[in-house]
Amino acid sequence: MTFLEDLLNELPDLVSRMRHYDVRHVSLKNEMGAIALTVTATPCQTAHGAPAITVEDIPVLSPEMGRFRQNGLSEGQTVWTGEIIGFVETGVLRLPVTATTNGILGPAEIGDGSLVGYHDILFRIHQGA
Amino acid sequence: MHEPRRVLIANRGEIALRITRACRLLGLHSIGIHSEADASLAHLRLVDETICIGPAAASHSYLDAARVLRAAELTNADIIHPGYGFLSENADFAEAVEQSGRTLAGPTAEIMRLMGDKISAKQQMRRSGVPCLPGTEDALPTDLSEAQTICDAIGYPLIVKAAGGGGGRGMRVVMAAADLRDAIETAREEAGRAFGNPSVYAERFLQHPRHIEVQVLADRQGNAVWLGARDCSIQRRHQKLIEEAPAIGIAPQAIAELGERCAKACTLMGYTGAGTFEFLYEDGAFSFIEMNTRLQVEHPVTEMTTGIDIVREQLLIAMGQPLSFTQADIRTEGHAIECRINAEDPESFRPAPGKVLNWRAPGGPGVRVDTHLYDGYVVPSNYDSLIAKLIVHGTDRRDALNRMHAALSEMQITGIATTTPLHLRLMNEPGVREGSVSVHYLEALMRKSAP
Repeated sequence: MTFLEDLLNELPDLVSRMRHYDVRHVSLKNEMGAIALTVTATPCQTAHGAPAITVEDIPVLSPEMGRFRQNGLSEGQTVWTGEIIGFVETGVLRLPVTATTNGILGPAEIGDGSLVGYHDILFRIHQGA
Repeated sequence: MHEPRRVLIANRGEIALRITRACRLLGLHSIGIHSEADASLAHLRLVDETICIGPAAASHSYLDAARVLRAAELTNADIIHPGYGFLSENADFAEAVEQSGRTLAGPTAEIMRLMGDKISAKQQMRRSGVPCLPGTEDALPTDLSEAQTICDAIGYPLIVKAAGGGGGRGMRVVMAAADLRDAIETAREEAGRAFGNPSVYAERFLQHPRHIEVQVLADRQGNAVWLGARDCSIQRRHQKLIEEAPAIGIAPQAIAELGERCAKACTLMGYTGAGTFEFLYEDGAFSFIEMNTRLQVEHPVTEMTTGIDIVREQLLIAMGQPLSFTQADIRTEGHAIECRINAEDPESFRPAPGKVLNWRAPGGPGVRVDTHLYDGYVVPSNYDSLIAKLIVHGTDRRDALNRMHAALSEMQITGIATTTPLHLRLMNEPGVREGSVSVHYLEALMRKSAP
């Protein structure tokens, strides 16, 4: 297996660790070549076609008090019930925030790395997609 | 060195608002925590930062030490002000705060433990020269004739109490020597069943005591002062309803002597922050009951008579500053009374949570209202029913009583039942007008007027 293949296999874990420790950029170099990895702090906020908030927007609440972490999803993306759309770090725990319904993800209500309270609204999901 | 300036207010309601105001006065960064049921609390609009720490149940929010500490960590708080109730006298919480490198606005965990245990607190008071009820130092011996000799020396009436208990169980009042053996045996049996510890101790039983308490402040440099005495004898089921300062009918010299002993006790044990020594007073003698190692609900009557902002001083002490005044600078002026306005039925005292439709605060010279109420505020059913404290200051006691009556008549809280009608009635009761009533006064009065 090549170095690159190895790295690709480890990528999800590496990204998750980078988010956890708030590392935005990693570059690796050896005799075979070089690779650089950049994690965006906040998913693109300028996505087109973001739906207006209506009564059909279902709020997704923070499961605990802690620090909010994005999961790389963009506004306007389709999400499914149970899909992990973010995390809340509380002490040593990293609690997943899951979509409560199928629909289109609205913008994150709280910035990546920001403080969130218990049951604060993190996202709204637009139903009727 | 980093100056502590970020204060987390680990409480709710009127006291959270009171602490917020003191933070703003000192230009400190205030952090308000709240439960899910409390997002609309008045102080949350005034603090610099807020965070919801958990669900409505106090056990998962205000009483959950781990959550409060996590909130402190997330918000980089330097100081935690616990207010009263909740975690304010929890030594394990105090210890965890210390271990996290933060400061609790109060004494150390070690002092909290010392004063939290009835027997060790009493021993400490005896060492410091604070008067205590005559009684046994430790548990009564199992041999009944030995116990009889000890109790005869204490004198009758006396009370036999469970060493590990509370709440009236394992307790027997003994009026005469002949009843002692029976009382010890039944108290032991009850204590063993209720608390798994049959040991009992005995102390003198006072029949008509007044509740008198001394407010103290002590800094981290070893200075301690006392700020006068309060009379909190108007109580129901050990819950104070009306408090006043100074305590009338007791020689100021006797109060001063007691105050000096309390301040000295603080210095001896290394006490820091605000605290209250509680006493029973009967036949001209004070007997120590317990020390409250925190701010008390009734602190405003002392503030009104001394002009000292106790909460401000607590924060300054927590910041490491020495007291800015000495005992010689403290003067008490006039008379102050506080009525606790609870969301309760004024006859049955049953909690009456709900929505406050209209809130009209009274005003005028010498009137102070400490409350988190506003029009439309919903009193949740999850917490204590105290919704406001009406405090008046007059030139003398009669003037204060008149001002209280006028202020109570002016105050309007509609939508929920409150204790206001009872207070209005009490302001005209001969016993209250005259003063110096015992702790049994209110219950006797309520029994007399019950249908």
